[in-house]
Amino acid sequence: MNNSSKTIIIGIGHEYRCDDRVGLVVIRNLQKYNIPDVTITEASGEGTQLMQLWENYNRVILIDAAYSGKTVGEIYRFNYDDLYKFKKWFACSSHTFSLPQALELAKQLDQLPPDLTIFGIESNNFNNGTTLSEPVEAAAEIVTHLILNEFTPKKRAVV
Amino acid sequence: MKNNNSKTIKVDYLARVEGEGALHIKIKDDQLIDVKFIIFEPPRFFEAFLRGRNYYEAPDITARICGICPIAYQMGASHAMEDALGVKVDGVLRDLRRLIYCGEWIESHVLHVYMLHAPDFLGMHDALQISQVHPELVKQALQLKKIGNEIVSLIGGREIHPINVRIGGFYKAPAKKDLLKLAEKLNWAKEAAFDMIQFTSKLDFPDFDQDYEFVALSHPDEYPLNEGRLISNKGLDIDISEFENHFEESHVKHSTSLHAVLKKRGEYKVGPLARYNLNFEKLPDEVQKAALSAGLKKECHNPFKSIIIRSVETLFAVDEALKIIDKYEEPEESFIEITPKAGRGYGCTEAPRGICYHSYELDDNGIITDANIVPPTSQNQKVIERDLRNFIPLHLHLSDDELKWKCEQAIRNYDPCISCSCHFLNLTVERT
Repeated sequence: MNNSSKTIIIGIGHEYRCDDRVGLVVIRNLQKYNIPDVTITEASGEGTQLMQLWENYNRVILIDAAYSGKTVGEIYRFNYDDLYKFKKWFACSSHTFSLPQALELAKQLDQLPPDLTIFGIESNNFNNGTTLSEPVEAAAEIVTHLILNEFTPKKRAVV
Repeated sequence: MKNNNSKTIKVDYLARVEGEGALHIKIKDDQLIDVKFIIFEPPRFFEAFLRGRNYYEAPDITARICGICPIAYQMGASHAMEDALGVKVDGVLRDLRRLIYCGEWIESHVLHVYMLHAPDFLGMHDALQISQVHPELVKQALQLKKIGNEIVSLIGGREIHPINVRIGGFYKAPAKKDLLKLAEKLNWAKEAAFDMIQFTSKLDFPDFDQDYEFVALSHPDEYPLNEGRLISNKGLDIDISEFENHFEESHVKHSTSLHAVLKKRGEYKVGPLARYNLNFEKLPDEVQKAALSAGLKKECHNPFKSIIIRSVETLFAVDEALKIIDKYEEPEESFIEITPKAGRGYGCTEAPRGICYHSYELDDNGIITDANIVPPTSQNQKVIERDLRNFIPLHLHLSDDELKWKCEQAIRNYDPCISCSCHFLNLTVERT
């Protein structure tokens, strides 16, 4: 199926590593709303899976925890060109091939989504557990509404 | 770190393996003194928290052990529980299990060959560098891996931690028409798998034949995936229920993953080389011919050539998948009804990295009272260390960076899945 006119929003995260689940939390927030013509899905962050998920979509939004040592809860919004400077912030993964590598490989193979936005949420607790740090939880709410505003700026139906 | 005739080389994180590991090498007066393959990934305690759960939860829980090879755990758990409960899954449901396993072999082997291991042989650091020189090769690899994922997704409901596998079969059987669409892609995949064998056969390999005790499943009629006896090239031939009589695990100080040995003989090797050496004649004629055309013989003792063997197994998996789809007829029931009862059961299947053993004890209500899981990477730890003990002395003349890379490449021969083995590599070389 060619989804070139459609959007996919991918929340990247790990369920049991505290702040590393923030991408999943944003996705679950978004799924409470009825956003037409938008695919909303979760991913572990394995790079080849990400490339398969965003294939043929025109607009791609990614959300992931970031670690740069700055203020926890800070929200970053990147496109591909910005990410090259900040790719180490998304390198906190045990995956063999994760988000930064996927983006670089996609660029090399001319498979980068035409319209790409990456939201990073500054995190610092990647221990075992399911609790988000308070600033990270607050940031997740903000990112949820930033994304919602893009698609449904007026009325939104809660399902 | 250098002190007189001593030197330390550190690799903080081994790249292009799954999980977190380290390597410590001690060298004195240009003699290798000690090698330790250190796994420091935190223990995951799956065997502990399976106790007290219902038997039917085991596939879903154990799938979480690994995102790359969840099917291996789901199959091992399913077979073990069915063994305990006196149930045999056969016919088309058995075929579907082989089919989903083929999907996992394809996606796992392709990921490892092209993204993780091939860069070593090409003198490159990652697949990104390969794509700068051979973009079509990487595109083909991604497409081939995707087809493996699609098999898992179609049969299992999801490509990571599938949700459609259950004790007794599947919650829902796939429609023939959906499998036929997959078959169209698999026809392309077959050509891509031949290309994969050709590509890997032309790489340069160090001369490093080793004397291994290979251990793998063996089945009278097929190249093993889910079922068979456990055999070796040095006399082992047992039912899988006897595993714990012949193998034992122990905790070593430098690894959070248990080491396994054959009680009578010590370290042993599982995985593609073991399967290939012990089951070559069970490969279809076309696959055998492709292997021999690639310069392999019916036996291979060079661990660096595991990259070719994985390519051969990818061709096998594609071919097997096509055969299963061709004869598939939708079953009337997608699973066999189960009645819980007390018992002990065993499962052992061929994960992409080698045999993965499960055993469980159930009470009258089907509650798990005991669990034992032995993943392939934990079984290969000792032979990885032995390879390095034999390999490093041949390469002490290299610079520290070059030695570091060669050691990582030698470890990557095993496609280690470190997170699995713990229920990433730091290299330290001390030269004194």
